[in-house]
Amino acid sequence: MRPVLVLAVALGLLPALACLFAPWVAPQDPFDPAALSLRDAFLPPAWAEGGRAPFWLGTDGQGRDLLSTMLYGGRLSILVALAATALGLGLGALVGVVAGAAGGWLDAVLMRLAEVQLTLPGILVAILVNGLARALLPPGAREALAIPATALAIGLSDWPQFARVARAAAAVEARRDFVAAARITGLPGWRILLRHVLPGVARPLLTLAAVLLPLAAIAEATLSFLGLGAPPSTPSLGTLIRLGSEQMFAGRWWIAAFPSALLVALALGANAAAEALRARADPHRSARP
Amino acid sequence: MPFANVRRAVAGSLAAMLVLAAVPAAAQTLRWTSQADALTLDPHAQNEGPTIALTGMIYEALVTRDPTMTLQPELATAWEAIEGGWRFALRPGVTFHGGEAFDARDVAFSIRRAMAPTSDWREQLASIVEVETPDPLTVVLRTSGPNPILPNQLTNVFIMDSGWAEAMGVTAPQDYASKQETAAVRQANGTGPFVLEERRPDELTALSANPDWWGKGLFPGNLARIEYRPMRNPATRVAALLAGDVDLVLDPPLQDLARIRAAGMTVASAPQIRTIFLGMDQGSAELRSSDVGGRNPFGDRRVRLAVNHAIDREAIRDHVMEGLSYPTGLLTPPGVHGATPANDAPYPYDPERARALLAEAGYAEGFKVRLDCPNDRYNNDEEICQALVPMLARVGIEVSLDLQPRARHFPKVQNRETDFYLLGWGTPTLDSAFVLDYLVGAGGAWNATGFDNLRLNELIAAMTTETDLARRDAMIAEAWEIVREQAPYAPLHHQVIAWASAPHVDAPICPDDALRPRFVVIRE
Repeated sequence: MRPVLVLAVALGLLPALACLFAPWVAPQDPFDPAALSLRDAFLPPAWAEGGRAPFWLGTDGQGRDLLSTMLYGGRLSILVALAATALGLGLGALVGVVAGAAGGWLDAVLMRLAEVQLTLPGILVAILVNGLARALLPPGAREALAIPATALAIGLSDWPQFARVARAAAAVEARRDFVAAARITGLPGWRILLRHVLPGVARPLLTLAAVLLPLAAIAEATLSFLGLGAPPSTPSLGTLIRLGSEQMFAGRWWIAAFPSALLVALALGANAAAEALRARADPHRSARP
Repeated sequence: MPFANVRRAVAGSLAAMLVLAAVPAAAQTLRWTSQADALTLDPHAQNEGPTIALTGMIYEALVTRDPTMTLQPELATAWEAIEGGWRFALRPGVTFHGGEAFDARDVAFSIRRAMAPTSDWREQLASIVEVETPDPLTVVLRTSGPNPILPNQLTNVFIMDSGWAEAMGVTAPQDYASKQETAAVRQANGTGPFVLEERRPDELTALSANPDWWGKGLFPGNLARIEYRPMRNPATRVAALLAGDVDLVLDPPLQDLARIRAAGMTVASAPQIRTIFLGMDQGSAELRSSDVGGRNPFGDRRVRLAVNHAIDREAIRDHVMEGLSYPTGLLTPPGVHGATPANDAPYPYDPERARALLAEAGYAEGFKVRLDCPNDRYNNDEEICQALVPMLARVGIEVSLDLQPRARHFPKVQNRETDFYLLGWGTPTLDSAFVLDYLVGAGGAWNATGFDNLRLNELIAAMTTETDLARRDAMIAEAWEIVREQAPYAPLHHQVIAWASAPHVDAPICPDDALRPRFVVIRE
């Protein structure tokens, strides 16, 4: 791997690990309301005038330690992105493998459906699904289920990409000799798909998942920035950037700046990792001197 | 007492404006914004600040208030108390925007309409028993007993044309709580200084000056056109002002005032006649959103007092309101008749006492409840609610927030579907009876707490007809004492309003937060 890549992965990996282990790493638990004091609100970073330890990166409008809130928020963003990508992957793989292996009218219908959705921007679909999910939820459950609803919305917006890759791979695999052999032995269709077609489809799908994971994290941040994702009481990075952007005119730059930097680092790191993974999975590349 | 200062400040700026108005200025367009649009244009459907302010540019009432909150003639030129009611002499030669002549029939029709079951002015007009029209320019309002403050209660009761209302099928007010749509919701036909040109809710409302208005030349304003574009995002409103896209922001975020001033814009501030408070549903057998089954924690006075002692109102003022609020223990601000320094004093912040009160009431382990909160109505409303969560958590009350736009929050309060809610209340009559009637009396239209106190109900009924002012004052004082002791609400603070405008705009700030365009001057 090239050194730039190593640096990028490290840049993303360290904060990602810090986020994932936020409950053990973060200096404060920002979700424990009893630990917060409004009198600590809007403190600047510790090195700036008026800032003080232990709030190294300052505090937000509710007196939450910004570093801790960011780590917890980043954790939430990563978990939502993982869940959403897993959902998109599962759904896309199912649709794609069935379409690719079955061919004919089923293939045509499923793929046209995927194409129709691909013509819409992913974030628009996510906003639509999210809005519908919220409208259907009872008011009391809205806050509690806001985060699963966000993951669902993003997952439902990126399945067509998985479906197209899965279909292409499945169409190739389904015409292999060993699949024909399996068919002759009388194995049921679903077993052939599961045992003989799916393994060949898995590698390109996982590569794609690595590419789409940071995009899902950014989609989550976008939804939260628009006020549709994580609620302010359990902020994700996007929620923090939204709340921080309202304080920009007032000169309280740190509330938006640090979470934005963290989001960029996470996305860059995940992208670099995906790039490395793709390079290794690409046979043309390894054949080169 | 902040209120006297406002009056002086407002009067001063008014005088300055009159001088400016002497210089003839070309008619101008005012482009302004605030966070949320009028809920409806039906003048009797919603007794709510922004709705009244916008409809009040198109429609007029018998009596109105100027920017110093002094009563002034509008469609009535004179009024006097008579035996069993009030007599109003109407302004002659007034026409509606559609060309219809204005007379006593329109007043009688509108007042009856404002007393209909779907009207939000029902309580306010409850003392009226009959509307008489002895001649086309006289109206007599008969009251069920002497009502010394009837003119104060009429300042926002707008007059519609009876013929137009019949032709449009809007003789009854829109039923707002059930989201009814009528022809009067998006169209309007008043006698006021501005004619509705275009109405796209939440997007653009355009008004043009009424060339036939009776008050032409009598007021300093020189606006030919008004364009109102609501902008939900506070930073967008400020950016629009700084970029010159709008001339006036009615509700700039408090944290941005220094930045706005630094950019050479005008910032005016004044204590508003609006109090922000929390309501607690004590009338229901159990709370909908709580883990306590079978009993209602808010039914216990000690729990309600605990909520009051758990709130650090000064911290909210300093860290959420940027210093622009007056912490209070009363539902109405100084300047309103009946508010005194003693009953205005906030409940002391004392989490220890709050915990002790909760333990005494049998909730030593605390309880859960959902707080319903608007996020586009009051200054920093969302932030206030977020700040309340940790304060209440510290004494054991675990609060989950439901933040909603006011168009969804208000019906929840009016339909009494909330356990715990944030609300603000203005007092346009500048008299405590208005607040007691709507918020505290059993059956008050905005009393979603289920608070029902026998003595208080008696006092409220008695004060509407009491003509001996000293005795009436004693009743108001006793009523507020009961409210303080029983704590059906947790008052937070009186709002301070701030308006920001481009330097060439002179808009007198009004303590009721309503823009009065007839006084707005745009200089070249």
